[in-house]
Amino acid sequence: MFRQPLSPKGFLTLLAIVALLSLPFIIRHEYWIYVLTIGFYYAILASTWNVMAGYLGRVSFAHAAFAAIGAYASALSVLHLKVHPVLGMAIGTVAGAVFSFFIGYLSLRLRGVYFTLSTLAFAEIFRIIVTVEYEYTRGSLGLETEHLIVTMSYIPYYYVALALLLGTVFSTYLILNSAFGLKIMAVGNSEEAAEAIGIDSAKVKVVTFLYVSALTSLAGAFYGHFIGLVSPEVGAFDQLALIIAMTVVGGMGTLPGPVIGALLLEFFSEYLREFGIFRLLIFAGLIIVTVRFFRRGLYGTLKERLISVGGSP
Amino acid sequence: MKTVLRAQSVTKSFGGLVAVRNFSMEVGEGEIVGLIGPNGAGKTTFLNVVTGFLKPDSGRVFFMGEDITGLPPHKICIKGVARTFQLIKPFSKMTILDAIAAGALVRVRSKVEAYRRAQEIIEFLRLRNPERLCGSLNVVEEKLVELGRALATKPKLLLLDEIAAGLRPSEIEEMKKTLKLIRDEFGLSLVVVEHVMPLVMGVSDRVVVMSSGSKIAEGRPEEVASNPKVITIYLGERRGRARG
Ligand SMILES: Nc1ncnc2c1ncn2[C@@H]1O[C@H](COP(=O)(O)OP(=O)(O)OP(=O)(O)O)[C@@H](O)[C@H]1O
Ligand SMILES: [Mg+2]
Repeated sequence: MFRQPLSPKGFLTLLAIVALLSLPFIIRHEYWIYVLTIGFYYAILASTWNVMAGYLGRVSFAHAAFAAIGAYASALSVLHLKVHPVLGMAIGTVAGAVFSFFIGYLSLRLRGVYFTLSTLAFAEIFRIIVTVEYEYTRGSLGLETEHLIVTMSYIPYYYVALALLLGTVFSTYLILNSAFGLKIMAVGNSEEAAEAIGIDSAKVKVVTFLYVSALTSLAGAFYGHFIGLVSPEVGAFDQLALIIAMTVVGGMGTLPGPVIGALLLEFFSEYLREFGIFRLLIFAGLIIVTVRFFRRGLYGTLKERLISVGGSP
Repeated sequence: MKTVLRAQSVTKSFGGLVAVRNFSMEVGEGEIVGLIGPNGAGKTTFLNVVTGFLKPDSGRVFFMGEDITGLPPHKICIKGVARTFQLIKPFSKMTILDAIAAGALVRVRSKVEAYRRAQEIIEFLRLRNPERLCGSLNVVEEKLVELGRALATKPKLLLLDEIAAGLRPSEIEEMKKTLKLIRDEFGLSLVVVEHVMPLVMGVSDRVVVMSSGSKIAEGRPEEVASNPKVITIYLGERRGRARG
């Protein structure tokens, strides 16, 4: 009686998708459409970070940096190679994959903290290069880039971001429920035990990191062509902190958790704008309270309660 | 009898401490070999060398006649050597079914097939409610899952590091039966590292005694038990323990 029946879960998922699809017809306010689109962007980043931290058990500090890699690679190829932003986004994705392969190959073979330190170093080096190479990147002023879609409304972007998010969540769902997903979780639980049962842990880690980083770069590239400006801010540390907060608040190690956390925090951070200087304070307070009363995040704690109510042996 | 494992003059030291010294042993097909010795004798270190978790300073390890010295652990598992850990390493956040299925993946590609094999092993070990998380089990169940995970890799040689530690006498009796059944049903060879004498003496065809990294005795359980050198070591250890 432990396994949740699939139908209510599937039903809720479907309901959420339908709701998100129809939201632009209900909310007639362009500003909130914009906020939700940004929310989807963060939801992708939180979802992919969660695969690393929540399932593979490896903390990457280069997550925001990979979004920036995607954004810059795409913006620069649109600018210099005169390609369409869609192709630019593909190039951005490949750039993320290539960088993550090298970082992963060099540092994921080592034990946990070395990987985290390597990603931190990489993110910092990347930020410095982007800021210093003014000639190419316009430094901290930011690089202007073409918009993905020529439109007066945010609604088309809303649907593109939603499609990217659904694609990310769905492919992640498939991977985690595949044989490879079992290997990811095995390595995340105990790398040595995973090795002992024949799992090539280095390979599992490198492939997972590559998948996660490529998707993150894709999201970053989209973000650039949505805003029309790519700056070092995209890869900044506060962005990383926000992604981590979103994942933890929503529920690390669960699939819907990061999405819920991202939308919620993005909404609050916009809503709290009018509080000016107190915004960050209230924001931090909210996070601390959530983590205090929902130890496994909002969704994670809810799921745990439902399971214990549903009756286990 | 075909030789499954042949370790030849294995030496492994940590800094100045020689944990395993010029140690050799063989395991035949279908044989259960007990490996005993006082704390710090080097038993776990030897298992780590055989399974690729440690590289020996010198000496070689042959499995089914093939030199496997220095291969990474997962490759050694693919060859057909499985193990359990003295300090168990459970997949705490995974279900029993998932944990054991993860072990089956080294032999089968599909998850469905892995689940089917895991289910067989779960029934064989009589584990109840395989949907429970591995982090929520009692000691016996934890040991059985550890065992099941290793069995799922379809090994020809299984190395058990103190599988009976922490079990009650009745549970040790059960474990003894289980180990013999595993040998017969799965047709594999076992190396049983153990301090629990009733288990290791009851289950082993042959016992190897290790002390300070070296082999000091070897033979049938009753021979070893009456060997003066072995008695001295164990008495000495008991005295040492009483003092400490
Ligand atoms: N990674 C390590 N680094 C340094 N010394 C180690 C390491 N592993 C083991 N040793 C030392 O090597 C010696 C042999 O240890 P080992 O764990 O192999 O003994 P054991 O026979 O398994 O003992 P026990 O019965 O207590 O499990 C001990 O003195 C131990 O302290
Ligand atoms: Mg030991």
